[in-house]
Amino acid sequence: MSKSTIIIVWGWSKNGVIPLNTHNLWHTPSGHRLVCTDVHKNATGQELLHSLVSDHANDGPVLVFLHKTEPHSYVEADRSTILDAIDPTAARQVRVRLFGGGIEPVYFGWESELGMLGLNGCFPTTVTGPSEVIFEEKKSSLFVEEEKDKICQEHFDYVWDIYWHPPYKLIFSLAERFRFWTDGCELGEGLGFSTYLKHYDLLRQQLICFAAKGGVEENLHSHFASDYNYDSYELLLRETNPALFEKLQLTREAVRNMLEAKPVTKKDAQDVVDKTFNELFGLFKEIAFGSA
Amino acid sequence: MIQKMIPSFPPNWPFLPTRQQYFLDVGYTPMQYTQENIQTTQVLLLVTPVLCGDDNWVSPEWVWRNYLLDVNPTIKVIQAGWDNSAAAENYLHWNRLPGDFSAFLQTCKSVGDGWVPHWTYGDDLREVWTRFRDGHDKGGFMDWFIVARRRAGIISRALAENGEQYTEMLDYLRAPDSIEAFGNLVKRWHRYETLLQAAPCVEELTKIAVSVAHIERGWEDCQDWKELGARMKLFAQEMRSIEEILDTIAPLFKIISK
Repeated sequence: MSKSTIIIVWGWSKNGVIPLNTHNLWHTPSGHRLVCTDVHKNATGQELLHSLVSDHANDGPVLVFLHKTEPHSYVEADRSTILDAIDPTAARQVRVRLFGGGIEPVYFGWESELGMLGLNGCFPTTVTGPSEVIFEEKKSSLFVEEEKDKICQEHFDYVWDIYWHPPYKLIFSLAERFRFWTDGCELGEGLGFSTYLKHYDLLRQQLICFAAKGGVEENLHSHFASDYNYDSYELLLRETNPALFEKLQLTREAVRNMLEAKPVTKKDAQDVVDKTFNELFGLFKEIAFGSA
Repeated sequence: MIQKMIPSFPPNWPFLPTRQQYFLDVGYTPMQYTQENIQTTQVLLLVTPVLCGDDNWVSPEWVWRNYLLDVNPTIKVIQAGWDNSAAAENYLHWNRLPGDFSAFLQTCKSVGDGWVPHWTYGDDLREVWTRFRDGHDKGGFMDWFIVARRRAGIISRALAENGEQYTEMLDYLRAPDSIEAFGNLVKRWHRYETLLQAAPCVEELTKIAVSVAHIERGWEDCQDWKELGARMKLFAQEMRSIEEILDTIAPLFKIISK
């Protein structure tokens, strides 16, 4: 049975969890692995990282987390660098995510207490809980038996499930916002969807960013441009998942067509809504569950 | 034609005039859901997932099913939306509205007849409830609530007759763990109350919100032992009320095997 591995490149050396340019290995009870490493973007660090990724990818899927803030400063291009550096067969088993800033599910307490990262390069070693006697300091439930290098399966699964798939929640939210908005508009009579969408500008910007290829031309919120930029994901899928690649392309095309559509009748408008919603919703289900 | 009522939920879902007209034409007068009108109507229009807050999508279908099984098992729930993959019974597709609504209704199952909700992929309201009550490890609403309730009870009893223990009780209340317990139960409630609005038990949740607002008022404005004792007595009463309501509605959020 293949074993999944999460590799987290983070500031583990800052407070001595591990020295720089080394790594530490933790297991879940069912044998999945968490590798903590602290490597910078220099030859030594990258050699170690590529070797780690390659080794683990031979045993099963690998999810690599690259810290995007200082001192590591990994950027979007580094995701491809790793995939290019290892054997192409192994690379199909690898997904690379950027993270940072403490505001992501991988961090303890951000979205859940199942996150794995604490503060300042440490595991989440303490949580405060209510007690009638005293507020005790307790170990996070991340560790099953710390001395045996065991971590809890639930934490591993939580982080894995969120990050292994691309941000499908964004697609779900986009589909539902689109549904909610169209449920509130009497469409048709030749006005373009772009015109209607001007009354719901955040959604309009999200849809434009999602549909656009190679960047967007308007003055849009930069975080939408980043969140909804699926260019690199599309490139990744071209190699790793042709069916999903095609689905993503079709969905982006459907959204582009919707933005340009000027339906004359209410029925025409409903057909466009029907098509657009179901493409987005189908993409969400395909990404999240592997079936539309 | 005698018009029947068709309550709809959620209230923030925009019910277009043309869609309202469709229901009027087929003999049903749309209206907003209330816990009163749901007891006597034959059909409910449920549009999910529910948008709670800015960008939280909550799927409450199974909670509604549990609720209706209790208050009106003969009711038929119509789930409406755009999902082409929804082959489930009781699903009304906006782009394929049935010409003969009565015939469509004939094909729908009532709640008591084994209606299985169509899942809409938002956050499962039953899980939201569990997270609210219990948290992930510790630190759920009930963890803080139990501490705060006990302290309110102890202090109100200690200050019921005289102020001999006033200073001691004030210190007890100002201890970091007391402040944290009261503060966190309020925070926990505010974090989840928006999501819980997808539940059918609107009146019960409103009562809890009122009680929490009283507790949120705090005690720093109390001038003497009498005021503090009275405030803690009020808190204890509010918390008893909250607990009773939570016990009453908890079964709605239980995962019941199909």
